[in-house]
Amino acid sequence: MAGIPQTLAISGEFADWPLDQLTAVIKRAEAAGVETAVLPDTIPPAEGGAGWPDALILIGWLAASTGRIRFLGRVSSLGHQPYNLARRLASLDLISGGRAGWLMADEDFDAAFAAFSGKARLEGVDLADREKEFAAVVEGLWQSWDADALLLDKQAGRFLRPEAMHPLDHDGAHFSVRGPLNVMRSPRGRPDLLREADLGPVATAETPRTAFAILDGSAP
Amino acid sequence: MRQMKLGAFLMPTGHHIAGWRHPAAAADAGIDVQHMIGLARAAERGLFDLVFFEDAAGVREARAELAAQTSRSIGFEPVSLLAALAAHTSHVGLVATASTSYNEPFALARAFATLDLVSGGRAGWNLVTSASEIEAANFGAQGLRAHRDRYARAGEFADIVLGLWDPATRTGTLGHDGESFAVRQGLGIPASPQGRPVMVQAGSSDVGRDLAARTADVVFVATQTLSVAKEFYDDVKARAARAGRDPDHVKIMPGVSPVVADSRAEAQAKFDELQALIPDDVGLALLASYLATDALNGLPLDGPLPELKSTEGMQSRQALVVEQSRRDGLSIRQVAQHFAGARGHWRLVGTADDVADQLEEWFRGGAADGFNVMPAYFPGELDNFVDLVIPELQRRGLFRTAYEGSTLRRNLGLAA
Repeated sequence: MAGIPQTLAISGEFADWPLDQLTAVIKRAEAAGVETAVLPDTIPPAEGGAGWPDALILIGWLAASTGRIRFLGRVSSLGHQPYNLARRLASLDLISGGRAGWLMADEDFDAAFAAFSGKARLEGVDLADREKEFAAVVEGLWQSWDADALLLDKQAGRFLRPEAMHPLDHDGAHFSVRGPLNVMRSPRGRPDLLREADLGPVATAETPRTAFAILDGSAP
Repeated sequence: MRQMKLGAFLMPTGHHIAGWRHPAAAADAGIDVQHMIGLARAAERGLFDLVFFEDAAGVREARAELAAQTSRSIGFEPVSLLAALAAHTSHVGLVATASTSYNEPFALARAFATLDLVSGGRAGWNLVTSASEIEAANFGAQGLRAHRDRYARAGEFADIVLGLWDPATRTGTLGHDGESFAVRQGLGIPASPQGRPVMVQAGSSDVGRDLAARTADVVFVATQTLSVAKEFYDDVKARAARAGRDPDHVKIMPGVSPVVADSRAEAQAKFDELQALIPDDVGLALLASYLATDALNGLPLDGPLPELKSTEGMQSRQALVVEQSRRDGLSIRQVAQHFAGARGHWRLVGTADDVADQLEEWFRGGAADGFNVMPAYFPGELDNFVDLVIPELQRRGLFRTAYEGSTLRRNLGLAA
């Protein structure tokens, strides 16, 4: 009998994952002791077709009906700016009580190029270099605030300690970002940022049926 | 009978700049999702059409010393927050602001379409073009684009988003190749029960009005007098008709900042208490930022507002401030305090009856289809509005006593 996986990756076609089924699978996974759920963020191919909804929105929504399981969005950086993505993930980490993270996706470049004004933004860009800098900016922005930044002193009119706010002042080959982030650090410090290689063994479910089979220990 | 549409304009601590200092305000609201869930539920209890969040992709105040005295530098990214609020509410609309200057339209359209799916058809997007240098510096831009350029880009952005939201293009292609953006494929996800998210705008300059009249379902506006509100209302409705739209499908909702209590004296005392909590330098900085000017530095606070040249920042807001100051012969400190409380929106201080009288006058007077309510601090002043003003509006037949449906479009009375 297969054991309960540490990580369950949701996969397959979104059409096979009605939202109530998705929620049921995540709740069952949490109850079974799965530590991490990975959500896809697939955009349709350039010529059109089916994709997945925005993984980071799904995480905010799913976080509300769970309490222990960690969520990773398998998101490509290609359609985003580091300030925005850093903010969204930091917000999700606050919302979920420290259960949100970013799994940097192996991107479908042609689809991203077609969806995100690629000719103007991505043509001729060293993508590996861009992604490396993107991640560094995101992680830098997550250090914008010290843990003791908030004073909340109504009497004295002091909301926060100005010394605890740290602009990033990043000026690189691909991005220039002053900072600081306008989201306070979460109690645990920052969201996770992982690459596929960091994940360890993953059980992948193409449909709710296979997910339940995996969680029941009945999958091969 | 025609009834008002109401938005609850939520912020973590409150609309009054010193609201976080009020003894009953939740000062840690910007990190407390449970507090925000409570606000959304209070709005739903009051049968508000929608909750609304503004946004800026940067801190509000770059000067650390000023940021230290206000609660505005931190908060939740609103679309992420609304995803969580969607799970804790069932009828209230969920509207967030996002910028056309610092996003790709495909990514933005997809995020809001996903919010629309998980909320069962309650999402809305408030389009802003972003006018602050603080935000620009987080996106590698060398200064702001000119006002007109920002709106040209915003117009193209809005058309792409509307195209992507169209149920007909979801699994097909959009094939847009324009001046600022290129988007080939559709979103590839199904439409919600309301078809597409509601489009909201608040730009009130000439090009802003044109864009709103052409593309928006709901228009927020900062107006402080009935005559100015009516001019705006008539103008945008006329522009919508000229753009070939049914003017009734563009809902105009001025912002209103009420301070309500059981008696006028109590309401005034509550307002005075809030005003007294505004530090001089904070009030001045807020005013300078709204005027997009540094011309106030070093001027005597008891003197008048100087002549100001038009900037690439908030053009219509600037005109509003200057006009107000001239009309009332206010000093710089007075203007600063006046605007700090309501941030240029319409302010009402009084009993539920007083507030309902004013809202009714604007609503019946052809100046508003409804209002975007901006409580001074949270949660107290939102609860006050729900418990005191809503029942009075209902008694007068001016507001619903139950939701008409479970999608935002249905409740707003918009075509699907």
